[in-house]
Amino acid sequence: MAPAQTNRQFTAKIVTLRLNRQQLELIDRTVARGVAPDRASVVRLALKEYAASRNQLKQRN
Amino acid sequence: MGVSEVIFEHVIQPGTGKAVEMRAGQILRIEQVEGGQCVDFNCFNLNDYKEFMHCGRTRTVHGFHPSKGTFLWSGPPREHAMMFILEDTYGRNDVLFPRCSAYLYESAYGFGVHTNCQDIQAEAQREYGLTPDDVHDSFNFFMCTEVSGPHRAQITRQSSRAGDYVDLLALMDVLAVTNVCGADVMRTSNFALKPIRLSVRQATDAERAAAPPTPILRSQRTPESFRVRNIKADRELRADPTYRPEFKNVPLMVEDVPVELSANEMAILAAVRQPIYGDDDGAALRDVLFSWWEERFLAGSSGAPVISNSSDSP
Repeated sequence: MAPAQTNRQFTAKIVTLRLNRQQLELIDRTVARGVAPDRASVVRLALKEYAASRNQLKQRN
Repeated sequence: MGVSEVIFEHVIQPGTGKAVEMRAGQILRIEQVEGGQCVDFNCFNLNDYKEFMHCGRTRTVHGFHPSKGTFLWSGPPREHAMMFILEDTYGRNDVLFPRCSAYLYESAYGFGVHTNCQDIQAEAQREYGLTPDDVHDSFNFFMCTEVSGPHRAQITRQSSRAGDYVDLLALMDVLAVTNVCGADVMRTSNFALKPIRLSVRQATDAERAAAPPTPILRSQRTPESFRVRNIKADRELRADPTYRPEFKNVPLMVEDVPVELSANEMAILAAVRQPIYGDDDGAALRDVLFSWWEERFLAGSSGAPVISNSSDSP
């Protein structure tokens, strides 16, 4: 997905998610089934695919 | 499809109801005699009345108007599919509205005594030693309702005809309690009360096979796993001085998960983030993570179970 047109400049950043152990269990099971190689990769994949699906929705409407 | 012989038949007259024992594999037919009559229905596990049909759970799984091909579920902690709607010739039912009650007719209409589903259900199930407090919200067959705005639902008139019926396949032994809805001063049954025919027959193999399997999971608890197994027999509630809480998974430890995002990924996050998180990038990204997970892996809405085929859930 192409980022929204904006004048704001973005820089790379480490974003810290606070996850409890149940949430981590779900993410770890997602990793274990091969969706992505590690927790951080799952998060990045989620961001990419979630944005893509929002984009598709926008185009449909 | 061949149809087996009727083993029980009963016509419930206006103002009345009937509790019927059913074994797993039997079918209860609820049939309009004249048409236009709402029917309130409840069922209990025949071997453990503490398990009963739960409208909230059923509504979550199948929506506001469950019909042919859906289940009647018991509530947590049991959550079993108790019955299956095998056939529904009218196709309009309701699990939004609770049963009507004496209080409703007194407060809204000024009746001292009036037919109502709470009291009719209570009187019918009294045959099995159940009390008025054991009546639960009913599955309302042949009842037409609609969501009428952002915060309200309303009852509308209905057009079921003589001979319209629903067939309920028992998936466990149940006590099925059916009554003619007592609402004659509402639209529910078009302002007139009419009889309803009940009949029970054994399901054929093909009919039993029509109910898709539901997930059998560890979380469907039985009283054997309860810390308090005995049913409380007195009315007053008193604290147990020996009680020590044993909640699961607590304390819920929280861990930091650092994720390095590129400038482009930060821009994407900015485009999709929910404004409720303000400047909290971590909370916004966590929302994206679990929203994505729901979209990708949840088969049913609001945590409804996968009824057929295999689950894709990790």
